[in-house]
Amino acid sequence: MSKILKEKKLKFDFTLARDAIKFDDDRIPEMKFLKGVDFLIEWDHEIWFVEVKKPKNVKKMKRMKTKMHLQGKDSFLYLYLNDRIDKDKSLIYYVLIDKEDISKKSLTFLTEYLNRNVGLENKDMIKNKYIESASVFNEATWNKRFNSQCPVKRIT
Amino acid sequence: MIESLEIKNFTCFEDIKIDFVPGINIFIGDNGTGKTHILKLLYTIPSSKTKVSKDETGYIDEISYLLEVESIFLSESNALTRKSSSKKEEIKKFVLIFNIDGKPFTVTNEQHNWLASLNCDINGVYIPAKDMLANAPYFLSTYKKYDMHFEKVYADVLLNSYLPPLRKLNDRQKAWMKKIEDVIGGEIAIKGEKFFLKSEVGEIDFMLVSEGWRRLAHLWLLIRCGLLDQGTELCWDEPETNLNPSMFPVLVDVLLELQEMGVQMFIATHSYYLLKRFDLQRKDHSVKFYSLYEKNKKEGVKCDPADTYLELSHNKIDEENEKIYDLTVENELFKKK
Repeated sequence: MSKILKEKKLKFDFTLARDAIKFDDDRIPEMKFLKGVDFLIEWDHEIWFVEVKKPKNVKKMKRMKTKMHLQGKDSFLYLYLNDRIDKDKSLIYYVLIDKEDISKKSLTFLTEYLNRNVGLENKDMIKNKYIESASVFNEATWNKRFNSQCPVKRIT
Repeated sequence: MIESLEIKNFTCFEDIKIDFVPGINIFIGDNGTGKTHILKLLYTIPSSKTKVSKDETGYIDEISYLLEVESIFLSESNALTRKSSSKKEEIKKFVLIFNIDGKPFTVTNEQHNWLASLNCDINGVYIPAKDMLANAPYFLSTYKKYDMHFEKVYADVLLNSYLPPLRKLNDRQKAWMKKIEDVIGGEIAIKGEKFFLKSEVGEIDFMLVSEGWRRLAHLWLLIRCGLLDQGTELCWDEPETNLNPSMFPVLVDVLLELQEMGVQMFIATHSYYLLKRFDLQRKDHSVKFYSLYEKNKKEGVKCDPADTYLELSHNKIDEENEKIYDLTVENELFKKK
């Protein structure tokens, strides 16, 4: 199965990953009460939940802020309910916002907002396996961080 | 170290108790939530120490303590009692309960408890939000002679800053001073009552040195005279004042190292960047955050502790960040080009 995954107008190259699937399409339908992330990516030591957002107007952009944690939490719950949590791998939640002109300051704010809503205000209080960190990117900051590992390109 | 402070009916506080960590205690809160009052109260303990014995253990009694509170707050003790207290029968009385090195010290401004006393070996330094070093000449001599309307902390700042260097500085102290020198561009010299920055281009009067650098220079002076050492309490009101956030890494590094050495710190801040700098290093250091907030006038100011920045409740800085984000979304991200 191809590890090049597309979501909206973005194409992610997860060739180097152990496994890369479109999660909300393939797995979550069996649990309708859950809202899955777009991709589930498996690396040697990490599992990534990746969610792509493309808010189209001010109202949706503002609402996105308060809702974007849900897919990550639900995806964790899905793995947990299906006894698929790998205790040896870290769970990481990444949100990519398809909005080029969003500033780094806004991304920092959204990352903190996301961490708080995911429940990562104080990680020391979490004793069991859970999402370990959450970050928000745009296309440029994603590529700056992951260019050699899993770059993202715009589909023209 | 100061382990806890309980405040009843004092200024904006109705009834709160705060447990401290031995390292860095950081207070946030809207204007008027009593951050500076807490810092000043904590400073009253080392500053009211009298009768220093041979082993340098100070002794505090209630009467001298109350006089110190009055000179630090520049108010009579009765005026410091909370005005809108709901407990009318107690309206004239405030109560302060400190827990210091496992020993309680209780003071009230109404019924003098002549037995209230404490042996204490804590030394203290208070750095106010306003810089004093540039305006130092003749301040102390005038302050000593005249009844000037200045809180005692301003005189203490200068008394501490004029102290001569230690006969022998250790390697860590030298390294911290070097770190600061690299940023401000030289050492500090004192001539008469004036401070100068000894830079490559010559001696620069402190009046001409940027106020942000003067904050760091102040820290340099306190390290040089050995005041910031194990068993010292440092109260610093808004260290970020006039300091560009790019200078924060040096400031935070030095403060974290001082804390490792045994300096207990109490910091009040409005700076997101300063908070985050501490938050990012909290795993390896003793750091705790406190949010001061007023739900309603009747209950007075309350305090919520937090282990992390994200855990802070009633965080006005974060609320402002959110407003700025929302405004950016509204005004910039979807603006028609």
